[in-house]
Amino acid sequence: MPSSDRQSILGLWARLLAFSAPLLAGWLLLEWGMGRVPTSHSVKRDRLAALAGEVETVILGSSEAYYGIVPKRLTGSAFSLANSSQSLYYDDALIEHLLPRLPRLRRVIVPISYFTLYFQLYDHEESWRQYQYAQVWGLPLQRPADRLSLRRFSRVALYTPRVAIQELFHRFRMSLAPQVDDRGWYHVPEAEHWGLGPAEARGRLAVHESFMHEAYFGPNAAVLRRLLTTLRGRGVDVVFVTTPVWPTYQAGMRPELWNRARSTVEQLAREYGALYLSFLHEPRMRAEDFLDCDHLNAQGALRFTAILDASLRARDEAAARPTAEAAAAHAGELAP
Amino acid sequence: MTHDEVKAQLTEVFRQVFDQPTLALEDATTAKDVEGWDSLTHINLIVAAEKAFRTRFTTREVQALANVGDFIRLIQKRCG
Amino acid sequence: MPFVSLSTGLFVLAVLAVFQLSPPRLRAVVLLVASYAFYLAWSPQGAIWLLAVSAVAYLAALAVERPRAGARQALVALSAVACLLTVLLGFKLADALRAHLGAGGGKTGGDGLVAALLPLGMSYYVFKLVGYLLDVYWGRRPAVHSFAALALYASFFPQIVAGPIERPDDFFAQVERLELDPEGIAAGLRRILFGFFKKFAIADRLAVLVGAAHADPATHSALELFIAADLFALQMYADFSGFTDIAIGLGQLFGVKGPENFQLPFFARSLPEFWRRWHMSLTSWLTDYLFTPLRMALRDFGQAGLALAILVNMLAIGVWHGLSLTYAAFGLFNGLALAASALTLSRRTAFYRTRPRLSKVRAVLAPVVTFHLFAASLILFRANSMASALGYFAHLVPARGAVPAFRHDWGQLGGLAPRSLLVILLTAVVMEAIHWARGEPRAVERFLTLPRALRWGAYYAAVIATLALGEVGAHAFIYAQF
Repeated sequence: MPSSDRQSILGLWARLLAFSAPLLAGWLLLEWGMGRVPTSHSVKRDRLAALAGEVETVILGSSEAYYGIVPKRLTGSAFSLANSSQSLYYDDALIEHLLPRLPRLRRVIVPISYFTLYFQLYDHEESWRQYQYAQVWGLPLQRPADRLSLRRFSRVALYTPRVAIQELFHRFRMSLAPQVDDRGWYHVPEAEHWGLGPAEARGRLAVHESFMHEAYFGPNAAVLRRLLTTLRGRGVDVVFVTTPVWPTYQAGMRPELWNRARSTVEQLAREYGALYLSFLHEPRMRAEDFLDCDHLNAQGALRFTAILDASLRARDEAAARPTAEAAAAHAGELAP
Repeated sequence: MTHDEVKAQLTEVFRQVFDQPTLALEDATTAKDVEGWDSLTHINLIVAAEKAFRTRFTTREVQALANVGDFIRLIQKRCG
Repeated sequence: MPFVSLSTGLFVLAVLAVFQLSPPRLRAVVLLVASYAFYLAWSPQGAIWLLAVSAVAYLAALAVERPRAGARQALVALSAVACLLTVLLGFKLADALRAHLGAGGGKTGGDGLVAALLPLGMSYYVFKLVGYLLDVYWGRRPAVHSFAALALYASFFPQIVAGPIERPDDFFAQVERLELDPEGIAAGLRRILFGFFKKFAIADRLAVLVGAAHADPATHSALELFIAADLFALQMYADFSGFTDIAIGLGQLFGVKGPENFQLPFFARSLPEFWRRWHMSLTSWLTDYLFTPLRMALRDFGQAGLALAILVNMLAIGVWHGLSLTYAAFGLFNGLALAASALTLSRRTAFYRTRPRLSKVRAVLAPVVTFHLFAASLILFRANSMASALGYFAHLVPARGAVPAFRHDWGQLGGLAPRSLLVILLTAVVMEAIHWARGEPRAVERFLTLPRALRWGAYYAAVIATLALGEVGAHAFIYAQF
């Protein structure tokens, strides 16, 4: 091309670069700032690091456990690593990653919900949460294609530029996880309540069934095996727990899906000497304890954790008395 | 008919269809130049011209017209 | 929107670099390769359809090119057009059936998208090629002898996703002289920035409000529903004109400027005038290739013929968006209003000519009435079903004891506070001001001769506003917490 043309084109590119430079600088500022903003994952990581030497019980699982089990109400030092839409893959990955740093760990609670064995986070509406595990914990993403995403490297991309700019206006001091306590429990705001009727239950079930797929059952069962092998190998107790749901939700659960999940978990429990406590239908929970058909609110979480804790203590006491009486109690509790 | 004869008669047709008694046409005139001449009124013009020149146009012919000059030539072709 | 991503941006930059480094004769080839590469990355099977349809149009055009004329040419033209339109209709029908039967069986991807059967951009490139073929048949232009050139016309990536529908003459004239024009590239970049601003800062924000109103009309007051209907018209305008700006801007980077799609439509003084200013590339296409031929065929039926042609035309606009009852109803609504307007035009003009003061009132009210007519028809366009649309209309009538007219708590309306709404409306005013200004050469010149600091300040403001107000890179939340 003629040199005057080339010069004007090069001039244009130069101006473009000059224009982009402040934008790039702004982006880097936002990246730095967002690194200082607490999120549920960063809070858990930092608080757990401080408590690592004393933690005896770790709670895994998705939002049902994240909202519904209160570490401070469990006997001994407990910590919740549960998070919204957390899948078994990430439950397992977190434990594998953290086990060496938890010398006092003696029990892991693995929540099992209707959908737990049937979903993968990469095939879910909230799949962007995968990148939080990658950024905060350094855990590998499941699918190679996802590893090329900008959200793996950029906090601004992950939390959206809009949130980053809002944080800038708050000097990066506005926490993105204000409801999370220092043991990892999500305290549901008092005012939230979503209705427990049949229509609402159908809505919740539809959301869950939209990301449940038969194809994921096998891989998830394999992950459970791996988790059990690792933990039992270290002498850590494993307790599967199904948190309470409201009867309208339970009535709508497809029996063939739930029974398959439940019996698989029961069988694994027998095989590995683990425990399965199902509170799916828990008469002691009342309507005002629920946020929606499958989640407890703060008040419900406190009540439920007390119930759970009582069961666990009874278990511990029975284990300290290896008699036929303890064995009978053990067998009786396995029925859902 | 000569070019100018057709033009004169066509001008009358335009004036009636668009209700503009003083409208003047050039060969290069198009719809943009005449107020009220749009897709909705275009066919009114064609129908009026067909009546005035006692002829019938095909869609293919009408779609090929780019301006008034083309129209005049088409009419000349039709009317001999 | 999956096309707004880092990878697309990098792709465009890469193509631009190669384009600028290529010798002039190869630039069109670069665009063709880029367009097909873009298409293959999104839809490998669809690329076969694109190629096949282009081939059919190419061969048919050569067969019917003037000076050949006769029954055989008519048959070839008709069959080829019918073939192309049938393919398009077939896919649209398949998608409509899937939607109707509840496509819950489709595997959803991580971001919740269910793949449509209709190949990317087929609605646009089929129309482009049908228009081309008819232009050749009617003798308006010669056939294109290079298949590569025609393939580029159909697949041109800035226009493939959502138009505009460029006419062959405009396109080929520009492709013949692809020059490197820094002014054009800068103009293109400005246009893209403006498009993003409209789409994210205005349209996506309004979508939240409108979605809430349409999801459950019964829980909103008549006033709120009325406002939401107006806001939806604004949302559609910002969204689609934003997308068009991005498409035209992208084309300008390569020296190919597409046709405008919008010309200050909300200033139209009648519904026919409105439709000459809204989605212009589509409406003018339908006018030239559907309405006018149909009107010619029906010209012996006087007013009835005119009304029928208008109805068919508007129905086509409706179902072009999708084969559903609501889209058809949208088209019919506009068709009936347009037909009424067209049939009474001469009488109304005569009426107002003798009443100058009333004329002045009319001049002020007409755009308002037109806007609300269109907004009403958009209720049908937006509704999830006819039942939901009728419910919306029913609740537009204020009833005693129903939801209070105006709640201070806008939480129901998608959770946007009144201050946010004010911000959106302000940005909408800015948007319209820019629309007006860019049509005025003097205003454009004034802006371009401002000191660079001021101009760049405006661009930075636009970038920040887009990122701060818009939902760029937004993701789904089941429960809203990080």
